[in-house]
Amino acid sequence: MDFTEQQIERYSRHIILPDVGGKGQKKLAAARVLVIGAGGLGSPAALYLAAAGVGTIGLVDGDVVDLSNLQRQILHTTANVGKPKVESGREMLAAINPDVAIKAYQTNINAENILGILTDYDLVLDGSDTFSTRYLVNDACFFAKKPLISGSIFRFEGQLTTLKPHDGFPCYRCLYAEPPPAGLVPNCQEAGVLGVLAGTIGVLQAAEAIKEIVGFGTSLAGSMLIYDALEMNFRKTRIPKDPECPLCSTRPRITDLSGDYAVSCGL
Amino acid sequence: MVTVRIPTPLRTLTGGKSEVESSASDIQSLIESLNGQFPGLKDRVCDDKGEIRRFVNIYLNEEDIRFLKGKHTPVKDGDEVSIVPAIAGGAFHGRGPRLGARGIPCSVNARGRSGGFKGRP
Repeated sequence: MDFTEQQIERYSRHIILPDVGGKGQKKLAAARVLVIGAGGLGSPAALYLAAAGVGTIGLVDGDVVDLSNLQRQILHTTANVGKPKVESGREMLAAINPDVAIKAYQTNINAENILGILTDYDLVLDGSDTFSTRYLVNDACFFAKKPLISGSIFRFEGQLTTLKPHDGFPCYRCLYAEPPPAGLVPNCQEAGVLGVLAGTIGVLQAAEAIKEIVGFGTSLAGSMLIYDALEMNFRKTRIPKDPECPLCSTRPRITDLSGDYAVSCGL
Repeated sequence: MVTVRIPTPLRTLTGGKSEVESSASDIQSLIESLNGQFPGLKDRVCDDKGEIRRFVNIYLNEEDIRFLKGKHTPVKDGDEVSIVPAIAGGAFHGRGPRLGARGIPCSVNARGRSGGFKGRP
């Protein structure tokens, strides 16, 4: 495909970057990215992906916009309180960049629908808020061989990594073997979060996605970035591939999505 | 001394401190000595059998101790140990706390009606 004059102007600051250029911008235009959760992380990530000219963005979220979302979920506006998040998100992304094809899935992702949705995408961003979804998305992306950029936040702290187990890198189960049992981590209850932290981590997910699509820089595959907003520091740790991983090792125990992804929390 | 980085969820036990010091010689004794200073910390990091919980990673400098010598991994002066639990937040929904009463579990079954990232009871 060729860019129009307007598109060349719109993406000019990318195109003049030697690491992106016209070629990289075309890769972005051809890319199809699925954003799971149009919330705190998905909002800033999707906004920057749309601005960057990612050709197709899928948004999955079954929720409607609530007034208490607006402290951090910058895809949504006061006028859209009560609307499905994916519709509100679609409006905002289209307003930023009409070049982008936006697909809205107003549903909660689950073992039945995830593989069907993933088929149409090259790369996935996980901005979900429960462990059950995180393990499900990890497993499905492994089976579908899709790179997964995983971000998560809690109060003042964020974690970010790129998971490509199909490419010899670790998966989420290599990083955290099991989800926490009931009551130990308040994942099912709003524990409070610094709004701007969602922005920081969501935008970093978008940065990793763009690097992955265009193919420049050093990927976070095999590492985890940990951000502490209170101390204002970033640290990186290494994530080895777990030779005993139940999913991506040579002796897997998980071979499909029929397992129980139930997580209970009793706070 | 070894510097130990405390994650946000455990700072309630350390009086809000994000970093504490220890003179322990391995991870196991480090956890024990921290538990002496900050009672309850060990329970959050280790299970009933004293094994490090499967959703908590401990890093010696940049390396995950699971791939070193586990809880017997030695630590020395100048090392940095980080305790890093899994966190799941991202899409956080909006209507305030999602659990009504304390102790009511919310089961999320990925295949069931409430599957997905809702996590509602």
